[in-house]
Amino acid sequence: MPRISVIIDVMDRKNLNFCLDSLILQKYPDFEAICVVFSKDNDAINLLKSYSKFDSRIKYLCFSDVDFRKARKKAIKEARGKYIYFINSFDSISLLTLNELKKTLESSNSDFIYSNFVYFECDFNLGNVFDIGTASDNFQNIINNIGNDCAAKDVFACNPVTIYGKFFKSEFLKKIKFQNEKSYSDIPLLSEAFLLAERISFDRVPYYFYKDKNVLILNKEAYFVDDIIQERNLQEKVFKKYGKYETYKNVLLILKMEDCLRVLLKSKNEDFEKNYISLKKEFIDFDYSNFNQDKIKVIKQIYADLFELKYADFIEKYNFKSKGMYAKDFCNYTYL
Amino acid sequence: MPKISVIIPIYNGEKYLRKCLNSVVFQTYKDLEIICVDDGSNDNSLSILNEYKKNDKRFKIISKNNEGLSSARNVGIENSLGDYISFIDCDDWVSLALYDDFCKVLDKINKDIDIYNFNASKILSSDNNLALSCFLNVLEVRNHNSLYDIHTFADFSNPFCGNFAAYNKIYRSDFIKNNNIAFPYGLIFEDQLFYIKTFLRAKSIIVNNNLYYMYNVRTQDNIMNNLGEKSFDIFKIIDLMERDIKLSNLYENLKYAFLQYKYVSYSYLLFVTAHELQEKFYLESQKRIIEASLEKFDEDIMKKLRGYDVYIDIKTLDYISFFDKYKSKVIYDR
Repeated sequence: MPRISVIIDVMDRKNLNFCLDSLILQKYPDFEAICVVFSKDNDAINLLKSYSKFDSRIKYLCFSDVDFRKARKKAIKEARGKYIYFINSFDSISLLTLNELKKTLESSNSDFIYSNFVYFECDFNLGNVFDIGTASDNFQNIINNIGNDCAAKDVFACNPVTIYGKFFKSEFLKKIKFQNEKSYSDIPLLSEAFLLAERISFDRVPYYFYKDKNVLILNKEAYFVDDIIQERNLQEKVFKKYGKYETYKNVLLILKMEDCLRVLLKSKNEDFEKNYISLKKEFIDFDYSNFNQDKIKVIKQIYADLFELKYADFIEKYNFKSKGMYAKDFCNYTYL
Repeated sequence: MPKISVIIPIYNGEKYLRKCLNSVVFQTYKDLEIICVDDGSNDNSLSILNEYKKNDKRFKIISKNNEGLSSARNVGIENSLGDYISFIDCDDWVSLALYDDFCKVLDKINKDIDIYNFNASKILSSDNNLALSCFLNVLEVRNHNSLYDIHTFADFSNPFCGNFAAYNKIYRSDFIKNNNIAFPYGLIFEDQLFYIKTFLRAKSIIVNNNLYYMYNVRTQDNIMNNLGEKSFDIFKIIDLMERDIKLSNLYENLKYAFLQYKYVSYSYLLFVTAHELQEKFYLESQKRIIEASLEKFDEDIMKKLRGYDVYIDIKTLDYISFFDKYKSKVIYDR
């Protein structure tokens, strides 16, 4: 039985060989790589066939017609390792990753590690380290559970970014009772992990190399506003389940609205109409009365303008082209 | 789609040979000719090769007496029938998409390419407790905006740094054969000469900074730590390089980098030369650097070169002083 199960989401052939090479080169050899293939891409499947012959630790499961969440659920179930690590086939990892993360998890006896990553641009300009933040940032510190290593944990429960590069105790991940299959996507799954975990380690050493410079929302499934709304609604349900909704509802609403707006602004031409309609449907008659008016003021105004102004005027007013589309640009987070 | 000749010289490589061969056999691009040149191994290498040949018709096995890496590679070139030539060392392995990605680039460019230059890495073998990985320098090339840009040697910013290996390139066969380029028989540093000969003549070079070649630093590889008298080969190699560089039209582009390459090589190799020959090695190095510096070199440019003080010292210090000063310093960072 291998010690570590590495679950690799495979969308297509691009960079897949580099991802698998970085696994084969791992200093820590005792792992199985479960490649979950989401497309009918023959090039990807051929490459996986070759790699699995080359190295018996590499396996693949094809799920071309299945929702990726169902596929992930199955992969987690099939994983035999004591630990589970998630990778996107577009990216790759440093050679010491599995070795170091395993050591950290064992010595801290945590349920999972939330670790840092380096963000590479595709033409190999060395990218930025996406820092997971500290107490000295805008975020206030609220300790949720006992024995945590980092005080800003709750911020990440609200906005966990992505599951890639996170290292879990298998037993912990498998015991989470998800409401339904849809909860296996990144935001609800990680929210659940954050709120349930007794101990979380934060590792600031960047082991994971992101390569897609066009992904601002690193959550890959967020292509349509409808998907975002569904994700964030599932996240709200998780917070309610753990009795944390009232404390964080403002932040959760703001994040939902920002994510939707981001997707709208990034829409391809053919998707814009659909996204706009979804957005309008969800927010035009939204009941803001239960929320802290002060905190939601900015984003509420942005939406009001979105629905009232002509789109071109809206863009000009907020100058979205030059602004980085991160939450910090809009609102200051305070949780109490 | 072109046929690619993969040339693998083997000398007592049984330990990593299967992984190496597997990485060629399982390439997604299938139109390969796999030429294994057994340079007189006395371990199980040959029987492993025969086993592979039984199961895969693409293998061609050539057995010869032990005459060294240059000779083995040259025999491989002579016996190759492919449109392109690729070299792999028997201790290493390659990404399974190497040749497929190469052919896709060729297809897109739709022209003959003389040299396809990709990236290789150095990894300490897994027996070792230290897992360091140092990647070769990102290939620094001017005017490089896309993978499909066609370059010449003049575009390379660091022509004498870290890109000497034969195994991180794919060469067009006619380019090699029509120019009569071969590895120098019986000399070490053969990769370096081959690199200069090929790059000086290449009219079209493609640079792909992605990592396709996994180089295993052999733990028993103390060859580069104690060369005995073989270190003196560097003088012959540099003479051969110099002749070619001066005959090309790139001398002015390369002269500073070439001078730096000389003094850095000499000062590094001094310390891996057999002890009793070190003074002789130093005197030869000193003589050559003094001669080379008689040519007009702009001092301002010289001062900016890495290791400038080595250059000054090698011209002015006697052997004992130089040895004492540099014996514990890292001059040549690999």
